[in-house]
Amino acid sequence: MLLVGATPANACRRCRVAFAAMYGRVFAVAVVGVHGRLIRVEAHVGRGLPALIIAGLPGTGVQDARERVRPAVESVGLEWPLRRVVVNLSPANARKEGPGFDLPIAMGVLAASAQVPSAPLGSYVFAGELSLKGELVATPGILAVAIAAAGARLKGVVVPRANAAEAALVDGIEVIGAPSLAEVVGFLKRQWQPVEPEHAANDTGPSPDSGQLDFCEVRGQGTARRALEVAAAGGHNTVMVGPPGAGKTMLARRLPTILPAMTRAEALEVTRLHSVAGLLADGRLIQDRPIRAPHHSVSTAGLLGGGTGFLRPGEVSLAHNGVLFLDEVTEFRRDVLEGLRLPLEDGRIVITRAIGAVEFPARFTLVAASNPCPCGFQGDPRRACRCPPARAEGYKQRLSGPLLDRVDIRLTVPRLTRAELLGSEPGERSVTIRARVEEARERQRHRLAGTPWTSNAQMPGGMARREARMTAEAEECLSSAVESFSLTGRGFDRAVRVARTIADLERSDIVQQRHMAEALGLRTPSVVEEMAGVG
Amino acid sequence: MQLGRVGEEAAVLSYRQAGYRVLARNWRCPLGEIDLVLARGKTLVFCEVKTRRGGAFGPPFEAVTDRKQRKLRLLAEMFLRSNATAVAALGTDVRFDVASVTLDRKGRPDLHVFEAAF
Repeated sequence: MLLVGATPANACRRCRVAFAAMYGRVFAVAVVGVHGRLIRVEAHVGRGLPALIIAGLPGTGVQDARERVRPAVESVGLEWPLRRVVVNLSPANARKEGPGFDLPIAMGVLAASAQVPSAPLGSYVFAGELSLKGELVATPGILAVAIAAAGARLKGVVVPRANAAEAALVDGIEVIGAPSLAEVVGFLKRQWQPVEPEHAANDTGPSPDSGQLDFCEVRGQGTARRALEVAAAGGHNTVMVGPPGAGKTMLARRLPTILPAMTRAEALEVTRLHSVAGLLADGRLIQDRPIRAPHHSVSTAGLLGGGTGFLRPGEVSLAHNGVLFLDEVTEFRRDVLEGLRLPLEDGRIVITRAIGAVEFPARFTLVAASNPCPCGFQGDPRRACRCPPARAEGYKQRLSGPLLDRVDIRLTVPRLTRAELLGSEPGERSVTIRARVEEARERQRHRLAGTPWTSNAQMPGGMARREARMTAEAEECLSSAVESFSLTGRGFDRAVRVARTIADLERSDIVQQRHMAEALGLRTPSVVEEMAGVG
Repeated sequence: MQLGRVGEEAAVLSYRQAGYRVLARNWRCPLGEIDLVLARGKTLVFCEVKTRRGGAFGPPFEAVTDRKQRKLRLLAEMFLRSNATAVAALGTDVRFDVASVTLDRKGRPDLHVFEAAF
């Protein structure tokens, strides 16, 4: 039927393939946000001039597959049908993005031209980018693909070998990691078997020396160290103000080392986000809490996520379950910082486009650092600030605003004295601090069981006041602070939350006066000195 | 014999073997030319024959661009109009084929017909 009359005399030597089947169907997964959605890739080989048409709202990345799939198929010694090939991605209502569609499209066409057996095709999801030589290239988002395949109760996933370990993080699914298209065809014809990706290596606990950073390397800065311990214990957002070189960055970098270890579910979430962003190098489960420190020139799309076509998670999502560190926070563009409101409130970010809204998780502990004034020396006992008062004031104004509404702890990080720099004995190790933090978190989880929250920082104001259970003295301490420091309603709630965390660190069910005093000390830098005498 | 002529001969031979009747060859009108008009049953076929020597510059059918396809549709319309009575007796289905012919070094044609090409 391909040729007129189809007699052997005029059979074309380029098309010896028998076209018994004209239709093929395989499964693929489109990644939207971090969620995979099962897509049927249909291929039909029909009459007409040779062409490859892709229908069903392919995104630009999927359209690109048109140019890659044919050379890849021919490179591995298979035939590309010299006919009109129509590929349809169904359901057609959602835009499909990403390079992972190369392999399913190729498999659909091979099935439609009867070059692979169609029977096993329905049990697997295919995903992966093809090179022109037919090799399967490491592809972003494979973890999300595997999770979707497991959710759809399919037997397995066929992915690039470079992504096999990543896909194997998902339980209850067979992973076929293939180096090229030829092996995928061989697998379906039962002529090739994949090497088992090592499951075991991924299931060890967090490495004992996760990262090389440790809190014991920080000299002096007792107040700041304590403040970060409280921040870690309650999940409180923190702002550090101090002159350049005081150690703000050093402190912030060590915050993840005292945060409680991630559960497997949390680790999978973090790994999936990094996978979608294409930042998962070795396909291993990420076990250390992430810290992201975007430069202050970051764009809205870079910080919150977005981009044209395929929506990438931004820094707020890459910091999910970890720490977002904004150094020189006053230098960030104001409209960019405004975008942090929703993630700080809800622990997620929604990116809305004409085609629909995409949601990424973004629950992080914020640590912002800033100089006290443009020159950096305001309040320094040994060096005078040279900033014109108006500029210094303007600088402070930028520091306040929408961001600080969600910050529980504000602390001053002073320049170290020479004695501190040279003399001080090493501080506590991160492991020791982390043990206390884990215990405090456990108390919070226990108390907040049955609510959507897991840490003190997440509690709404009213609930914080109910849960705090303050002694009369603590309450008195708080009410006097309201008068003498003109504490606002929001500041009031924050002091209560932080005091609750400090009490948790001391394994106390009741918030006592000293807890409240310390909490108020962590509220505003100016209070720190005055409270030192009281507490 | 001219290159195009060789290709057309090969195409005609193949169509005849498949039971087609040749209604016209190189039918001309002021707008252009249709290489072959054929008929079998109630199907009328307009065929564009493309011939090339060797495959170095890609297969011949690639020369049938969108623009050429539009022109062939127009020419087919002209043909149907000018032969209205004869065509009416024949049937109703109309099909556009592309016959792609590649000549090897010894001048032997290798024919590939794309039925219903557009």
